[in-house]
Amino acid sequence: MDTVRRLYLYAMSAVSLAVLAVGAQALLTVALHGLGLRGVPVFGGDPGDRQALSLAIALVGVGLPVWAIHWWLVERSVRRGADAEAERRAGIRAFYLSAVLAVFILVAAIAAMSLVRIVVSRLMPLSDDYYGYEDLAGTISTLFVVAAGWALHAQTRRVDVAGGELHGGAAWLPRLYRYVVTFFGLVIFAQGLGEIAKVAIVYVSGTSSPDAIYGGGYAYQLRQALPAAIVGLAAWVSHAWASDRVAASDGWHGASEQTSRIRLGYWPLVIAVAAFASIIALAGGLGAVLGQVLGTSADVSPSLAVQIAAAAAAAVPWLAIWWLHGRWGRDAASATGDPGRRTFAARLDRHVGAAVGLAFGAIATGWLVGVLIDVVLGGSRTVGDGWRHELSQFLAWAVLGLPLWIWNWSRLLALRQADPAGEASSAVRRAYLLLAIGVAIVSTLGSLAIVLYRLVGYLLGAGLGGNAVSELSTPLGALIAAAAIVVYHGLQLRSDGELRPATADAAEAAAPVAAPLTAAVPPAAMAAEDTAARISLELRGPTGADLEATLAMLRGVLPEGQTLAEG
Amino acid sequence: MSNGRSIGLIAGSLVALVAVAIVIVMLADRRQPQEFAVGSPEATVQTYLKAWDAGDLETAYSSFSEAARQRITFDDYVATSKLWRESRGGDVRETVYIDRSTIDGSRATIYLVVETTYGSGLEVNTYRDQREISLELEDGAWRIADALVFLDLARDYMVYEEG
Repeated sequence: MDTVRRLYLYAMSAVSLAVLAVGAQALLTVALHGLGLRGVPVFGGDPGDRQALSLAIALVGVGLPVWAIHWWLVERSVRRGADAEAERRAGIRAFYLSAVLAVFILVAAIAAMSLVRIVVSRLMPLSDDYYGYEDLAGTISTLFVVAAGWALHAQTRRVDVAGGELHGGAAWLPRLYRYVVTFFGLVIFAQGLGEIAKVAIVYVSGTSSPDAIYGGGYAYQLRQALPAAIVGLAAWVSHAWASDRVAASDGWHGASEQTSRIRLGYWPLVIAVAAFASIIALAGGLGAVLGQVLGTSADVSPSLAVQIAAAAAAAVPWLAIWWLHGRWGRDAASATGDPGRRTFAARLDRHVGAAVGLAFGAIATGWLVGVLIDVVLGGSRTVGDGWRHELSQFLAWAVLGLPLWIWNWSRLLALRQADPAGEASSAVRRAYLLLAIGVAIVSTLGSLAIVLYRLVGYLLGAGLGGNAVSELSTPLGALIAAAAIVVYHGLQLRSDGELRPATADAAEAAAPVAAPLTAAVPPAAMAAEDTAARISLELRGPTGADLEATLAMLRGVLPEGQTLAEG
Repeated sequence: MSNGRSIGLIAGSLVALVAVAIVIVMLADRRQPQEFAVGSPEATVQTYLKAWDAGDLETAYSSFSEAARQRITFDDYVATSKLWRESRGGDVRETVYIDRSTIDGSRATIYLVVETTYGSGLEVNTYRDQREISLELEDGAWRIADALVFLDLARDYMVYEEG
């Protein structure tokens, strides 16, 4: 099938599927309303139901035949005919299936949260409903329709996978879907659980005025947090389990999963986000303590102990995720029995921790240096009480961020001392150093612009007014912190460059990746970071083509050290 | 399951759902409004709403507590009701459901779900929100604690004469 026809069929399938799903949802909602799920009215009739039914029938009447014809054509092309294999392997097909699964799971998550909220509302009714009344029948209908649609497309993908090896987009697009859902499920779950823990702490403490911390009462907070925790947990566990099951499976799918870059990237991403969220949550409690010490005017009534406990409770899920994912990664690497894998996992873990710690530490340091400049040069930033509140917050970031960076970086320096050439050749280390330099430079752009603005304004006699010291102290502080990062990490990078063997760059650039994700990944399948680079190619041509001659020609133009082997 | 068969199954299920939904909606339309025990807070609210809908403002007014009636005379109530109906605009339909109720001694609260439908055809819009009505037990009968125009507080729409 040519690409244009393929695009047409999948686009039509998508549009008609959306129409069909909306119609089916409306149809089911009307039926459930009619069965009394909405209750029996005490006043007024149900003029809306017949209208809704008419519209639903119209949508199904239009959507169903158009979708059925186009989807039948799509599936026929995949299961039968000379191009069936090409269709099964088409990237557009994988994109379509992934997109449909993603949209359905997103809508299902929203509906599931709504359903949990309705249940919680029934158990803990509020007199003042912030979000209005949620329609139980509509929510159940949405869940049912999107679950059916998701199941149909997930089954279609399973049949595609069972049909044989898939490459490129056909392999990684559905995988990307799986890991994106896993990631967001985890984030939503942790956030919801943290909120529940906070509410529990405030409730147990018997604080008389929880509204000072929260926008509403306990029931309102629980209504928001519980659905997030339950639905996030379900999304995370189900998709993580599916990924681990694929990784543990035999055959091409398992091997492809184990060595995928998406799987590899997921692990440090989770660690980074968990570390980031942990510091944010803990800084809230620490900031409250420092605020008391610095005498900020407290605008919240609950006691300091409750604020600290609530902040710590919110951090617990993130700290647990951080620790668990770090351990899973290290365990998976150790299970391979390959020292290279162990070093790689430890290196990745520590660099992620160092990066997060450096980010908080650098921002806080820049702000503190700025205040110091302001005080020394007689600025006006420390007039009033507002700066004390900022000071307590940035001090908390510095107190949490800098030790995290120092702790991880000192161990990385020790690793480098033990194996200078090995560490200097590490892609992870180089990525960290370049990231630190790059982010520092980008973050200085705004500060530089402010400094230049004042300078040019002064030279041109623009009479900019304001307190020049106070306006320049924050950008100058940021510039000093960024300059320190750029210089230090730049020197590290240069030192690495001097130690790195000339051949290391080329070999490392093409090195295959493997994911030390969970213990479910078979150790034997985890490729080492420093193993030889290898990719599989399939050379095809029309009947009678001299493939041997083509192969010989390709071998003739290969760079030194690279070979083409027939499998 | 083959491709054609699974599509046929989906199509068949949807056609069956269409038929079932039509039957359910037709049967549901014949259903009478929910009835409540005479003398209950819910029955008072239902009586008030029926009277309001029928334009029987005397009965509606008599559903309010003595204190509420002292705050607004019947004439003012009639004028306020007229003003409310004028401000409401046409082509608006409400369906009211009782979500739950609580009784605490001589006070009761009825939580209502109000489904408001605007427009018609493809321009139809429906939204749902929650209201609550407070009632007081007066001489053994439940009365609405505040004078209402439909489900809104009458005092929010009252016309005050100068002087």
